[in-house]
Amino acid sequence: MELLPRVRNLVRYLVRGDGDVEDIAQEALIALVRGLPSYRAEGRFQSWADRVVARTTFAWLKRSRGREAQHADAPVELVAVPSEEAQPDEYVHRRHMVTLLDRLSNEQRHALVLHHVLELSVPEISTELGIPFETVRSRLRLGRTALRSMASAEGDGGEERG
Amino acid sequence: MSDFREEGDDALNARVLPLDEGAGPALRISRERSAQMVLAALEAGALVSRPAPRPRGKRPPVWLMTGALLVAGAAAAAVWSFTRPGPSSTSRPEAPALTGPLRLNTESRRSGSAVVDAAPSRSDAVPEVAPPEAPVVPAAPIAVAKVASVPVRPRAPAATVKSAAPEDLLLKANGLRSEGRWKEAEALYLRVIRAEPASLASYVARVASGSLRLEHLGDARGALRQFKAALRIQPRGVLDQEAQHGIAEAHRVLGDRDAERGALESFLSTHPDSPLVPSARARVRELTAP
Repeated sequence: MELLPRVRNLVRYLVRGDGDVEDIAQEALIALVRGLPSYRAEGRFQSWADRVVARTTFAWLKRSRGREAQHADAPVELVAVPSEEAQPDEYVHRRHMVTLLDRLSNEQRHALVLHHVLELSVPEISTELGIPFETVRSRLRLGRTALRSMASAEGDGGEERG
Repeated sequence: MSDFREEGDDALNARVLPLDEGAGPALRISRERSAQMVLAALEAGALVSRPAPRPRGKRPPVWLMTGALLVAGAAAAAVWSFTRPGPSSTSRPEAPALTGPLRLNTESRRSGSAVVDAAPSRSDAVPEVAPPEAPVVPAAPIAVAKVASVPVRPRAPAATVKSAAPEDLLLKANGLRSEGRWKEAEALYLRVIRAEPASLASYVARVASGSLRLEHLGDARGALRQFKAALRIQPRGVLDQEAQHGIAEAHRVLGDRDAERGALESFLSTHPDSPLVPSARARVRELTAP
């Protein structure tokens, strides 16, 4: 139960929009339950769980590639759900960050999330995604540049408006 | 974990992409929904690990683990759920408790059923279970729409499922539904209902069928029947919220304002923490306005 928010949050980092998060998170939870017997207590449990969730998400995205394309133009959900537990500022910040990620390509997004959220190294990402080392670096570089430019564009817009 | 840092890492880290158990970036869901998801996962995991033909002698330790998890999950659900009684019979493997989770991914639960379907690809650890619903759509006609979220395999001709178990049929129906093949999905839901009228699969199929009829097939009366039948099978089942709200929506489509108001009031009293509460309250106000 405690793991569920983390699972859902990671899935949201990895996929565009909110529409498929629950489906993927459900699959990821089942993958975790099924994978528990294979978990060797060598590393942190959360790291193991994160990888299972990421792999489940990638598999889901691969299976539903066509369907995802249909939703590509769907408006991004920006409504913050009120909650007595959520810290409003942090929640809004995270929602904002993920809407920026939503504007990146999946390739760049996945590289960024694996590197900066899961803290995988470039070689680890290369192995995880099955792509060359240099490709990972390139995606990270491009993704960071894109994020920076989006952030600065927003900053400029904010200043102009202010 | 990472011993290889990229140029620009610090700058991005300063932007903060936190991953924890806190709020966001995923949208919030209700506690009840969380409990449903966890229990669905626990039960699906337990059922998959169950040996199909029940070989004589020893059971794998996996079963013990998942069994223990199931019990733990049930205990958690008892704490989390507000309106439903806690499951008291989780030790009975063949009979999911009335409050048990939505299970859409069991594979030929009954050892005798010949599953012709070549679909189950079991080793990839990417199970195919559909969650009950998408909770944060208050104005939507019915929240159970996402009962069907399982991506379907490209080749799933109906002829191959003739002897499949209800759960497999349900899985296929969900796939068809996610592809927008409403009538074919509806036909499979009806087969599930006919196959085991009082089972959990049938309960789920009735709710799914009700929402299909309501949202896509233009059959509000049929939807109403299905939702009511689902409530009779499991008065406080995992899809109680969807079934109750579906009844209200069906009455709305049928133009029966009094019945709609009654259904909404019943829904509000039994599911006060549902994400659909604001819209339901607003509708009740509309209906009671002079």
